[in-house]
Amino acid sequence: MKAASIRSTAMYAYAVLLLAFILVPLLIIVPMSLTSGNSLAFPTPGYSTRWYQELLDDPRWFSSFINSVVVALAATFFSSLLGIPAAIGLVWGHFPGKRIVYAVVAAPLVAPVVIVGVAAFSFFAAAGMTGSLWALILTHTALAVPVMLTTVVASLQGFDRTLVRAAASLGAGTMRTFFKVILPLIAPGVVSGAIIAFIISFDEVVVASFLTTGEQRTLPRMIFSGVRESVSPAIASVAVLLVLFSALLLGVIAWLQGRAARMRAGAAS
Amino acid sequence: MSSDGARAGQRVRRQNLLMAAMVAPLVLFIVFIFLWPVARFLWLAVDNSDMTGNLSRTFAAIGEWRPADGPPPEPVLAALVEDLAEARANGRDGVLAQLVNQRLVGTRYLVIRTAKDASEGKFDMRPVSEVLLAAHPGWNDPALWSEIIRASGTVTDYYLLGSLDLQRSADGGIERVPADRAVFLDALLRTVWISIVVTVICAVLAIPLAQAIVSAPPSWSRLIFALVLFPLWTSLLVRTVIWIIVLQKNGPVNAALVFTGLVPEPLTLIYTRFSLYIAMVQVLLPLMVLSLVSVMRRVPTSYMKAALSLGAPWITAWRRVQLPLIMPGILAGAAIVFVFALGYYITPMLVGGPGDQMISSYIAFYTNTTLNWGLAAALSVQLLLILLLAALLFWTARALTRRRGALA
Amino acid sequence: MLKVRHSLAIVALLTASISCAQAADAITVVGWGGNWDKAYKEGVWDKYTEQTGIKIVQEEWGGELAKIRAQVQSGSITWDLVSPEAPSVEIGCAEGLFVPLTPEITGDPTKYHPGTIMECGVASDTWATILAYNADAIPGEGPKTWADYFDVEKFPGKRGMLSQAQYTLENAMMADGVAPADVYTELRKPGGVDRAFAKLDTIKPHVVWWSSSTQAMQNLASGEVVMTDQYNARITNDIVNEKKNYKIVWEAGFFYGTDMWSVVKGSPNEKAALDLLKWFSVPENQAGFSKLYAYGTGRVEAAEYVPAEWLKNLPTSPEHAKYGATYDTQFWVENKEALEARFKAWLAQ
Repeated sequence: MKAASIRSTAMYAYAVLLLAFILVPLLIIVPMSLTSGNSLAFPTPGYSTRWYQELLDDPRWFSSFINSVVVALAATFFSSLLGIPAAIGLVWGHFPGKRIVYAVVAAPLVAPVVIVGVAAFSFFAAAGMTGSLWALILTHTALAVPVMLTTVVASLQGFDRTLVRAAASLGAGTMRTFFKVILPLIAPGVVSGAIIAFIISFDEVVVASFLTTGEQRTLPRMIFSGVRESVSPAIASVAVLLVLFSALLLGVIAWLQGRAARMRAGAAS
Repeated sequence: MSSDGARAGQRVRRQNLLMAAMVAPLVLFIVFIFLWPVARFLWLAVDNSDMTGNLSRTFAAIGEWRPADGPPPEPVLAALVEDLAEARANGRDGVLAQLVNQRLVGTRYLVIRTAKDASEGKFDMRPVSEVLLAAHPGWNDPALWSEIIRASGTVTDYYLLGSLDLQRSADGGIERVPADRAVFLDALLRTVWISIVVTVICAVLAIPLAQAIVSAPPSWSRLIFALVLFPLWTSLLVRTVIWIIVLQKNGPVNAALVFTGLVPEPLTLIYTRFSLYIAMVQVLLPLMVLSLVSVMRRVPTSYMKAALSLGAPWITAWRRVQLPLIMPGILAGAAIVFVFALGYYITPMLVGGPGDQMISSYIAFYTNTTLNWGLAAALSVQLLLILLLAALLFWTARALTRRRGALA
Repeated sequence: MLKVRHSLAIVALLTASISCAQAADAITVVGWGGNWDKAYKEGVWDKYTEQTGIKIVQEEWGGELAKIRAQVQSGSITWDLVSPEAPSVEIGCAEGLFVPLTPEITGDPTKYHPGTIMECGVASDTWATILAYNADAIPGEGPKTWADYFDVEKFPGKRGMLSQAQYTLENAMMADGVAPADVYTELRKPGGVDRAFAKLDTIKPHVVWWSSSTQAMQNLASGEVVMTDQYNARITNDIVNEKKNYKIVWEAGFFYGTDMWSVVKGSPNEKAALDLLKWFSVPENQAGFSKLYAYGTGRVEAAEYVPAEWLKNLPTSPEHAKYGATYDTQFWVENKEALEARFKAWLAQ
């Protein structure tokens, strides 16, 4: 028994150590980004919010943020538009070739992102679409839609189809049934999927670096070119803000999932 | 009765048709916006239409003539100036000059200038040989004509061979390129090696962590698991950038090392293979833990308990009983980590040194900087093939462990 | 139904904002970023906007002809005036990517420094890659030649070096005792490139490679390297603005190159961009950049508008020009792809 308790103590100590390796870098840049100095030397000479102020003052950071939000919202919208009906069709329909559909849709998940970027660049350049954000939005939609599909498929799997038949027998049209019955029930899955889709697009840098220049530059693209020039405290500040942003979105998902679990429990009782 | 059944059957069929129709837009979208561009790009690895399309008359005129037979005959040169004038009119002369220059370095200006002169009507007289060869004696070079003749097929293996440091020799056989031009095999081996090392480190680090997660009390288990997975929600770029900040010469790690007196002066940690491994492991470790935990949660604890109660030392029991049971999880995690690592681009570029670049960075280099899309596509084909091969290997390994599990 | 209308509104909104991100009614000028762009804005473009009311939008790039080729071939051209290096202008001009310039635009071609006017471009700036060292790190007698730069016994410490073949091979040849004017003759000889790589082998363990000049300047400031190759204006900038104790060793020999202004053929503002270039070819207008950033101009008379004290910092000033030679455009146009690949392989060894 004693050996077992030593073993479990060692195991927890190890877990804490590894967690530190994974998480401390994300935390340590918070004080570093608050430096009053001109470089990211550690320990910091003093603290100030000047680098955050600099982000606000430089219009390029703001416009790249807006571009990222626009692209991510559009990519999320299109992947919902394509992903939700497809998920319903895949779960409820009986037709041959479902495995092929899954394989085709999963392709963007496993393809090396450089190949995706290069291929999209040559494709959209030939189509004359490199001058706008559309090329990036469409490619991001392709990258985000597999995740959208999987989350919605998962939330549909516990879905009671008699509700749809009930709605239909009461005379509700297909659209009405979808918006009034199906959507509210799978909403937590859809919103989680949408948030993940948003994050995938919002964080994506490689495809963006092939498809955007100048005014269409997204936030990650801006960070990427900034880092190659020099790693300044402003970059650290953006990094901190992005980590906080991710934490916030993750919190929303956790809350949604908790709510969904409670709803299911409530329905069962 | 039977008509009711038929009607029900019809309704089901119509229902299924509707469902299939709801899936169709997504499939079409992926095919047109994703698969088609990728396929179209990969095709460039063998595509030779920029050569054959722009030199069609020349290839036709060459026929059976070979440089060994003597200087290029009049019909060939006449066809050449017509082709070049047309290429210039279409704005394709620059691409053609680049392609010829790739095969024989030092011919780019020859092609561009000849095309310019031809389009300005300087070679409109017939016979043209004397004037052309006097103005641009480079067209007398038998080596140039050998290269052009070798590049006359509708498809070419030039780029695929090149991506393996191979080329066609003068007699048409395959030979290795001179040592000073051999680049890609090294890059290929480096890419595979880095991916293997990262996968092994991830597996070794993740197994005890996953074990801790599944054997902890539920609330702790959830907390640790959430914390391990948190980085997955932050961008890869941000996590990579953070490592530059942490590992730089006057960063926190060096400050701590110097402060504790472990090293007399700051070490060069960043832009090395070491920093690349650190960053890649931190980024990919959560994926390994994720697939391990999902398998471990399904493994009953009773087997371990039974082995321990029979008096086996813990480590032996773990190795003989637990390890085979969680092997599918290890293999699945390793497959994910390995496949992701193979395609890494941003991280090696930002935290690695010049000697740590992987295939992806060469693909980007040939696409952006030198515009050699054929070679970029050939390297992409290579990368995808390795990826498929790796997936196949892991799949086989998993099938084998499954069968062994079933036999035991 | 309400929700459908909502999503339609969202689509409309998105479409509007996406189209807004496209270029507006202004000339888009594409330069080399950072302080270079800043000097052009303050010294040249702002003046033009003030005089004509025409807005100028600045973008930056790394000189990749690929991007222009993609824009022209796809017909969606968003750049009007770009600054490529001279070799790229020559290729792009031959390919028909750039608009040929008439003397009506450029002014009298004989009034330009040699190599600063081409069929499709006029110089935006003439820069030099020079040897510089940190005099705080090397007190007393500093390095005088590229051979000194390669001599780690005489001058201990790490060296900063640009991680590409172009410019680096030239430096290695000078270190091996070749005069700047003869470097390309030697490089073209059989075994010439091998000679440069052999010389680079001798310094490899002592090199800190850089890919952006900001990195290189940080390394020089922090003492990570004691000397570095660098674009001359970056060093001058830090000597003047940050009072750094750096020295430029012009007499070690240097190469200078020229960036051009070229108009992208078929750009929506082709005419406006040509008008801008015409205005720019006035010597006084050109000088606005050189006054702020230590690079030379195309027009010879532009020097008259630059203070004599500052003129000494330009690579084209007579006291330095005698140590320099120009980059051989043709050599790099034809050999770049092969040599950069070889250089990458050499670096990874």
